Amino acid sequence: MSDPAASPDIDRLLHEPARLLALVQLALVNKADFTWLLNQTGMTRGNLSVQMSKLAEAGIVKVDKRFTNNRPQTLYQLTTSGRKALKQYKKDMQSILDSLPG
Amino acid sequence: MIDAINRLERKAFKSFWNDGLLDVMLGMMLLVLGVSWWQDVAVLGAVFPAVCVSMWAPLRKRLIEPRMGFVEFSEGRELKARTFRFGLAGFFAATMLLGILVFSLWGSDIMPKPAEWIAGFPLLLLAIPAALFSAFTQCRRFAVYALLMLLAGIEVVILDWQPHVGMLASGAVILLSGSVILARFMINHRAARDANP
Repeated sequence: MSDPAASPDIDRLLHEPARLLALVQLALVNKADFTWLLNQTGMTRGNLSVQMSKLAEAGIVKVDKRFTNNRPQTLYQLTTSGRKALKQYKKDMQSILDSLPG
Repeated sequence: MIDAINRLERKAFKSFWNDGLLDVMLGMMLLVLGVSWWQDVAVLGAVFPAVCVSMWAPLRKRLIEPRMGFVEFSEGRELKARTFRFGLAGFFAATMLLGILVFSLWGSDIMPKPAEWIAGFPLLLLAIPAALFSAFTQCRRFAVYALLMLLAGIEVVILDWQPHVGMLASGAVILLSGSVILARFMINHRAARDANP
């Protein structure tokens, strides 16, 4: 097994299961609104709202609020730095998993 | 990892079609086509499918989107969808031309009497796009609808019925199935009054 000290740093922001789930759903599409993410992830409104706020604060996702059919709609889109961060996270996780014995 | 991501993307795309609205429209289209064939009102059969196709997007926006949410798929997926739509439009255009050709040859020396299997042909032509749609969206129920239409077409030929009988029968089954799926979707997905988090 490789030296733990040499292990890559895992992005703690992305390493939270609920956040990662929402992020993966967003990475699959170009953009999606809150209701779509709610249905796809199966999270509660409160939980998803908190996770998306954290991702938006970190600049991982772009938030766009608009009105459709007289309803407010919140759209989310992965930013370029968000895509990079997700790619890096995947790489880091892969290298850790590859270093596992067996 | 790539496989898992692709699987998730396919699952998300498939869920986009799981509301039953398209099933209801397909069933209604078949019923109206059957009635127009039966009552010999060709205009109804020609206009109604076009109305259905143009009504699908606004209806989806009003009924489904507030419940399921809005999504814009990746460029690759959108390109595939556009190609599929063009292919489908081409298929229907070719079918229409074929229909006009058959109609103009009807009764001439080349085609004095239509073949017996011709009564099942309209249902076969409707089953093909349903099967292609099933392959495109991974929604298996559309393959079942295609099979249903195909069987109805075969039955029409075997029992020497008019094509509208098969259209009405398969249309009624698809409409019923679509209505159940749509009702279930509406019950399970309440429209959020405020889509804001």
